[in-house]
Amino acid sequence: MLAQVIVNGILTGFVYSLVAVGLTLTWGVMDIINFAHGDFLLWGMYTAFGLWSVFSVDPIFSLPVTIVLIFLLGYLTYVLIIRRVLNASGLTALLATFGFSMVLKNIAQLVFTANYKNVTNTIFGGDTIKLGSIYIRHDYLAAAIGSLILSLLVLLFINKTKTGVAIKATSINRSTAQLMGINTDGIFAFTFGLSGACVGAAASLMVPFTPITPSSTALYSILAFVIVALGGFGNIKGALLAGLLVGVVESVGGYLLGTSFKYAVIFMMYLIVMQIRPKGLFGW
Amino acid sequence: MVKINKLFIENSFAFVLLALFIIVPLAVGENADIHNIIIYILIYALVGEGWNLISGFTGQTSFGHAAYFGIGAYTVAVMGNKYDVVPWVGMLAGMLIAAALAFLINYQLFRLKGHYFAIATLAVSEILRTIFSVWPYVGGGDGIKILFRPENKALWLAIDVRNRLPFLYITLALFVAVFVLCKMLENSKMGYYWKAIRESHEVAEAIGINPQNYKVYAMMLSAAIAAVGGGLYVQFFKYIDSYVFSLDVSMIFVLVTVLGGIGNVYGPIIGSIIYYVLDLAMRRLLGGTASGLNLIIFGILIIVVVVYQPKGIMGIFDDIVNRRRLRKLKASQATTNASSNQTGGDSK
Amino acid sequence: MRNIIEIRNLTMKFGELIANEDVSFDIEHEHIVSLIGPNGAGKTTLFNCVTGFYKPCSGQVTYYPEEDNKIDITGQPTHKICKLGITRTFQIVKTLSEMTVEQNVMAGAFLHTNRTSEARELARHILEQTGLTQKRDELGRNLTVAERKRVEIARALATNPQVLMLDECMAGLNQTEIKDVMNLILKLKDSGQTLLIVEHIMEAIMPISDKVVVLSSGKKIAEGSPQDIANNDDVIKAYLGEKYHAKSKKS
Repeated sequence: MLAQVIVNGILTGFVYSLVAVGLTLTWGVMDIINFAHGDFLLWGMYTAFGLWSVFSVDPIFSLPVTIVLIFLLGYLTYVLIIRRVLNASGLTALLATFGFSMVLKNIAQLVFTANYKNVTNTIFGGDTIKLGSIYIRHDYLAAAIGSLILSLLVLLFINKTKTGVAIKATSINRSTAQLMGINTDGIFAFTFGLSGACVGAAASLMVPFTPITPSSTALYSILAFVIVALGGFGNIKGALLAGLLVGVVESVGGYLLGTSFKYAVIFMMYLIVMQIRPKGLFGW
Repeated sequence: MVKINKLFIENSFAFVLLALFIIVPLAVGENADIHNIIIYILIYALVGEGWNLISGFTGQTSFGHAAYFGIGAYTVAVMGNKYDVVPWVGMLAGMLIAAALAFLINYQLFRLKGHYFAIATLAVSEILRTIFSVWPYVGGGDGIKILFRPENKALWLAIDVRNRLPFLYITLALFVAVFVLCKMLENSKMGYYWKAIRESHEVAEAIGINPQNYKVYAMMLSAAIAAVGGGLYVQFFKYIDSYVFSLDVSMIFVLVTVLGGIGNVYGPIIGSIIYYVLDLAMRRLLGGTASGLNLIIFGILIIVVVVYQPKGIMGIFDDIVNRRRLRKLKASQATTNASSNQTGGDSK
Repeated sequence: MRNIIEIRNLTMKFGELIANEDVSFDIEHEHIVSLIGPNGAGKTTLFNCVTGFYKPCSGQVTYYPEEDNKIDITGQPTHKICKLGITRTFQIVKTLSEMTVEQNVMAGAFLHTNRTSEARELARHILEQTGLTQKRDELGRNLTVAERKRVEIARALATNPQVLMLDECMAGLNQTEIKDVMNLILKLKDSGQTLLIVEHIMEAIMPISDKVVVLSSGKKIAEGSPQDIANNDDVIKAYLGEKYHAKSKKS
């Protein structure tokens, strides 16, 4: 039974990782806490739902669409809002993203109402694989693998491509990066887009097993905050591993102490870990 | 006499505000909607003042002030319901418990810096939320409904639902007390030390400040003030459950303060007024027909204010004052320049 | 003449890197002691060790606030050391930027008083002394480099230190500004202030120092009067170079 619980935790953890990787990009690189991150996820899920219910597109095929659309949403968020508050104190930008979060959430509510929406009969469906005594649902597995691949792609992109290195350079020192000829404004816009793309992908992957309502992603953004801090701000590898850790701790904690405690266990773990490593598990 | 005059002139803005808060509730008559709004404005501004001490003056962002707000609310509710304790005593107890909790938790947490600390405060309030949602003593998931016993009428301050004025003025009095306290603190050694810590940890240490201690003082005071707000809130709302510990609630305090002007004693009250007046206007304008549309416009307004003046509403005031001061300064510099040139002018 | 601070066998390492190795010297009461040396010689590290920002790996720093009162301050927290009477400034100036000049100095002045009015009075006195009165109400972030350096000194002075430690308080200033700071330092010394100064600008530091200590690659290579140091061949080779050598011969 415990093995089953751990496997479930790992599968959820990979999805958490992808959401957190998206958040750590903006938080780490630009030092901006994007309160609308969860609402990006929400809009990704509604996009996938819309495509499924209107055009019968399976979420796995709408993945590219949600990636592109939420990339654009992130990009526009930067261009229209964040750029203008970039030089103000961190809390000012936070206020702006909070306002934007209200806008996104309530438009969603206006359009889709507060009723739960479900995407059903997807390709990966509710079937399971049996490995010994462990059952693994196809859609969970697909989401986990998809999330892992995409997280690794982002990691590779940041470390191996020219744009990626420019993002890194900008995160370390904005003005120096500027002097090196990096268009930091463009980098920031792209980073925000990339952050959106991550949650857009996560949205399509989650939608087969996550009922959608305007408030259903709030918890994801709180967990993403914790994961990002746990992994060290701006540390993609850190976010990936911390996401996995949080998934497992949540699952095992819920199993041992009862489901009402599963999130409390995560927060407790955060407080304890930070006493030992005040800059996150993998922070620099 | 001169001293009193000076007090009035330097704080004329505060006195105008105070006069408005006294007159408007009377002027609108028995308008429960407006009275409610004013009470909300005052409660959230009061907690905002508390949040401002730790996050505005001392520079340690807290996303978890709902923890202390909730502790204050629950203390009043539990003590009143179970032991017939007068809310005044309940609020005092809530303050002490919140301050003690702030001390216990934050003495350790202040090792964390910046965002790591902010997330830790969020974690603390989320843990409390879980505990209070399963703890039968405090009503668990059902929360607590405040009981009214006719034989014990004096227990609650806001008894008569139709006439909220006495409660409104009590809330106002408490807000004024907190405001004056914060203003005095700002101009005291404590306030200077807090700001020094905010501006530079290293400088603070180099001039003999123990940052850890002063941060903990700020947090304890801040928590106690938040608990007062919670105590008022529960008497007004007459029901409480573990939602009170959520990030949504914490964010209200952050929002009103940052909107008004962080690190400024006027910030929370100005922000709170703007926040709730806009909220009311939106609801009045759009009615109940399009639920959510008011919040959409409200969100846009927040963005517009922030983009226009990142320092909040008080920043806009400051701009106006500064522009006037600059003009004066230029005029006076023109005259002093001549003399300072002769003496060698050692400042540039 | 008595010693107010004695540094003995101080060693500080960062991993493999040895920043200070076995450094010993004394700071005499009411004297100006200067610490010089090329970039990376370990001057600021030594400052950090004395003021408690770093805990030295080995060695001892002893402080004599009075003739027969001896305190071991090695590795004590910075704020405690400041309360005992040793205050420093920072090489990279750290002006409290959202506070006015007066508030910057008042923050320091609160060390010995709890009353705002007293702190303000003391701050104004120090602003007068450091020539900052005109800039009193200016926000820290609006100041020029020279003004910031001055505020840095004023704020430290406001804690009423027995020993004032200045870390490159003249770097980046022009000739007139340097002259002003030199005069200020001499004025402080005349009023009985003990100073430890790290400085790069030889022309400024040599004439005002009572004693010069030279660090190179973390080690003390010389100690003596400015004249001795100027004529010390090791020092000239290690640090001063031909330029100063030639200049000092000319004068």
